[in-house]
Amino acid sequence: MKSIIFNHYSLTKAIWLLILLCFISCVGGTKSELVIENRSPSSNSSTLYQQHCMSCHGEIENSEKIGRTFTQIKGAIHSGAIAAMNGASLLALTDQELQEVADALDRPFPPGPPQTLQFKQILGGREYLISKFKMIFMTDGMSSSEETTIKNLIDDFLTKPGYLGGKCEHLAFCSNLFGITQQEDASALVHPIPSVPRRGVLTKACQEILSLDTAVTNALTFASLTSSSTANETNIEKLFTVMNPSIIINSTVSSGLINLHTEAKTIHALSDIEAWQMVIYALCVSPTFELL
Amino acid sequence: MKRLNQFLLILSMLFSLQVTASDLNDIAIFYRCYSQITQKFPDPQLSQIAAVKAGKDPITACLEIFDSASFANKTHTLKAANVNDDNAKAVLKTMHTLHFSWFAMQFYPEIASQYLTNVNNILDSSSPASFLTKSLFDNASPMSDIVSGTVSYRPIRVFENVPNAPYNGTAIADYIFTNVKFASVGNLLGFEILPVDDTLDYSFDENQNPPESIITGTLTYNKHFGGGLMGHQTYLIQNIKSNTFNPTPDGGVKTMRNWSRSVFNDLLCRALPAVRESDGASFVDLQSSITFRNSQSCVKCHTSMDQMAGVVRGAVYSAKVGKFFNPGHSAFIEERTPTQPSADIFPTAPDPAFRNRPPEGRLYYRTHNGTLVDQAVSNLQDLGTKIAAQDDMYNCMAKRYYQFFTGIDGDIGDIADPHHGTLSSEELVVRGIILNLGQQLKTHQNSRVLIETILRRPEYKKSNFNVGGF
Repeated sequence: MKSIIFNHYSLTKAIWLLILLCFISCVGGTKSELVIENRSPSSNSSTLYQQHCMSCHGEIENSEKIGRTFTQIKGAIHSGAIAAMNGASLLALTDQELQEVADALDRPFPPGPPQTLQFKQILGGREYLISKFKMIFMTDGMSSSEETTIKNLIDDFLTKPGYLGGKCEHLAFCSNLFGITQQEDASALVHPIPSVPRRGVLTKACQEILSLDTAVTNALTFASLTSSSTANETNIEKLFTVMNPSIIINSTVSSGLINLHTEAKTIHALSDIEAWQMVIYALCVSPTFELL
Repeated sequence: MKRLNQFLLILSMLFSLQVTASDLNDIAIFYRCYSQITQKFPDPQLSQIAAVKAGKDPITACLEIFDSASFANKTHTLKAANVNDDNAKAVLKTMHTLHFSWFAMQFYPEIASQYLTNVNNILDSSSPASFLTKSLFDNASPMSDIVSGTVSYRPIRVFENVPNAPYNGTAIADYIFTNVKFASVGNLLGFEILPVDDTLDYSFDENQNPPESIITGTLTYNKHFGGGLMGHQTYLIQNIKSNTFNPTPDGGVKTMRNWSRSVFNDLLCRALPAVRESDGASFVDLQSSITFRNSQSCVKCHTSMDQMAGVVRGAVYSAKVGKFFNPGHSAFIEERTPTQPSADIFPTAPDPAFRNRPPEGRLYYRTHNGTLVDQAVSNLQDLGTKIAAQDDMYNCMAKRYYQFFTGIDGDIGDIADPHHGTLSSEELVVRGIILNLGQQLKTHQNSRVLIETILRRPEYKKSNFNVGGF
């Protein structure tokens, strides 16, 4: 079954691209462009400022030195710190020239850059993802070799160090309690930060795990379905809800998943379980799967 | 190709679900809350899920699980009945990890190659966060304790009395401390109060080569300097970051400003400068040999952090057991006894006696509403008391919990500062929510109540936390 879906390179690449675009637009924080109050100082004072001040203090329209007086500017230039940095050219400025620079800076502070709400989607960390994968794709019994394989895949992709976020708090959940000498993923917050490697690990985990029939069957069982269940609105909602319990499905997504299942069977002649595999894979690689 | 298009279309539609502002149903609200507080995917067999399906309020059901982690009276550990409760342990771990993540410094720095990093084996690096976690799960512990408590907490984890140093594997027999108790490891169960006069006996060969020269003695390794977490050994060691066992702060270039900068970050959510441009003007001295005193731009940061740092000027390391090459060596913070009279806490010339003067400092910053706080403090404990009397620490905690549960990072800075960015109307609304939560927290002093208030806010019930709709 693996070759039917996952060896389709163009599909994999396209999914990657879409996911990355989504993360850039949906998950990252946003900040508006800087808006600067326009004001035109005299040309000579602007030139003086550009020659002697701009490299350190920014463009005159938004200089960090707006409001500085002649006395302050002269005092700063003759102080030890400034003189040491750029002493010769600044010390050569006449009082008249310093006054012109002060005149150019004599205006109110421009308003700071407008801001927009800083928001980041709350993603599950390593432990959340491990428990979610196990809950959906494994059964308690773990009797078959495929179940063991699923467990091993979860361990490989999620338990071991990677990019999933959530720190190993004082060796609290490292896989080898006394064998680890560094705190794993120490800089991660409780809520991990989206990243390309993290997305790659999760996509690969979905791909590998769902290449096993048992994982597909277990996910369907978790939603009280079987591979022969019809892909209707009710059953799609059941599956969606157990995989994304804190998100409400809408009719557009529901009909899209139904179409996916239907076309897999009718146009591409896939089996029942392969058609459900497509649907579950779509849900598994979606960023909604990571959301708390 | 058609299959590919269909697949991408589905993914696109799935993406859109996370940005729409639909109302969640009760089950979804419970799942969201449960996942956040435990960092686990809920088992559908969870009794609270059945209860919510039967009509129970989802936040009440979620808080039942949250409260399973509350501490037993007097001791600061999980109730005995919950020690083996996976949900209780998960909640405790989640919140403690969250609190730990708020600290700018989380590891012991190196000094003389390695010795402070060895402290990791003895004092849990997350110890300062214990003040916040204890305050959250112990109803009798007011929030102000995090900056005014005078006891030291030590995390209790599942594996106690470990035979080897957890971080470098040194066997206990090879350690220079003959009565050392290594930090426990594994899942957190709670905290114990570590006596501040607890001592370690040491014995080691001073010479790396024969003849032997055995040094023995006793040191206090857990002395607390007041001011809640700010004066905890771990917080001091992690943040002072001296590169010598005998720091010699002079109030000028050399001072413990790493520590005070962390205080502004960790407890007040403020990056420097924490004052306005004009607030530094009076501290500029063009004649000073301390170069940062010549520039208003430099002084505006130094004036807050350097003046606060005066309260830890007496910190010094237990160097005699730390300066020799041996994996079992460690160094802890001790305190000089002041021998010189008070003097200017922010001198314009290096003060060679600065480190031997009383630990005086100044709390100097602009509050969220633009008020300039300019208060002398006589020591670390006094600093904590004065921080607790302001609104900003409570606003900071409200901001962080609100961000944890909603993903929304509100601005609680001095927005009247001309250099501060202009907030959008939506940001102003969120700021108002957070400041209100902070004011409530200052009044009730209970972070558990704060969390419940956040969870019961209308935006928590929105699929996208109402982003774009405030």
